[in-house]
Amino acid sequence: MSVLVFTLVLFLGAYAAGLVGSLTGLGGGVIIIPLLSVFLGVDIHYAIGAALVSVIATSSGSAAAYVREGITNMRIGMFLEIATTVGAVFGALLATVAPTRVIALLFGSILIFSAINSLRKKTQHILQESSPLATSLRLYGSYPGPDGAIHYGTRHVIGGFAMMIFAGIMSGLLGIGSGALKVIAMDNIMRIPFKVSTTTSNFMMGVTATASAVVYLQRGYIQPTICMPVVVGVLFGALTGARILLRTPPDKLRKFFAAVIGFLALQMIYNGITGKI
Amino acid sequence: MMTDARLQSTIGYLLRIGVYTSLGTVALGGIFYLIHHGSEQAVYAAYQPQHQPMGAVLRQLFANLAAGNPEALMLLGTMMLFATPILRLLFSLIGFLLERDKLYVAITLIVLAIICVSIAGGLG
Repeated sequence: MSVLVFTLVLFLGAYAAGLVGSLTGLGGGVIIIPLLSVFLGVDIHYAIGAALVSVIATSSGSAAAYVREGITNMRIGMFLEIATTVGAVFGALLATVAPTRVIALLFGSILIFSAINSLRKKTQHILQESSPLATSLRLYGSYPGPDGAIHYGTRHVIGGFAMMIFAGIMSGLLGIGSGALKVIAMDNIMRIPFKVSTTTSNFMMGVTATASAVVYLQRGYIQPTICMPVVVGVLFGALTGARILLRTPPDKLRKFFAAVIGFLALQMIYNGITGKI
Repeated sequence: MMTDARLQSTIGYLLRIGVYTSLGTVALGGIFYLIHHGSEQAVYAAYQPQHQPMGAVLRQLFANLAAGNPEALMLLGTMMLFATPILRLLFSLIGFLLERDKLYVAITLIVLAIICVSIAGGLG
């Protein structure tokens, strides 16, 4: 395969990943890694590096829009970034010593989990009162609703923080945004309203991914020639996705995407077990 | 709060500029790269464990940029992308300082310190 063909295939794949990723809320990284490692035969370390770079691009690109709308809670994001960045540095260091097949198996499992999680019905719950720890850390806020500002509180700060350390480790180890794990920490444990948790998680991904990306950079995971089509493709895909979102019924799409991801996950797990990765 | 809203819109604007500038740099490097190497075989060898400190990464980057290497331009764009979230942290720090929110000044400093650890090689 010539460099030109390789770059074009990767660009189209990354465009599709960014498009579907932004429509379903699953990041683009989960498609980039199997595409590179399973189908294009690139070493999984370079695949992880390129995927992580695309996570930073989509996070900064989409967070820009949400922050302006005032939905993102910057205090919750900043506080939990302590957990995710510590985890991310550990994860990135683990990635340098973890055997490739372990990474492939772990990636497949997280992928299946994310696919199932994306199909789960989201229930909106708004806490009126924050727990004492959440109150002293000022982990509450409000966001614009249809009839004025909606105020919310949070709880179980320690549990959420611990889950965020785990999300950070997975992010640094596998080169993904760990969106599904972050949403569990914020929605299910801390009871942050869905709209706030999704945008805040997206906002946090950039800083989290950067914490491991600079480690990757020094370990030689970042191949500019592979990152280039991935970054450009994912960003354009995400921009297109943001436009389509208004017209397409996301439910059918989400099911389709979950099926695609499930298939990719099984492929990764199979290759991990047989040692083909 | 007025300061909060203004701070948030500044950060949003900053993130967008950062992303587009680095995207443009990566794409420009990519075009040069494809013109010069597009017809070569795409071969990516297996990853070899290595550890190059940040100072050495930067020195090599600037040497390659000076030599007109398109791969260095793509790497520069990628590294500019890494800088956007870090700049975002610095802006948040200024914002919390202006609001005299000591607790969140401290929290932001902790996050920045962790990023510095990873820039220093991650205690590895």
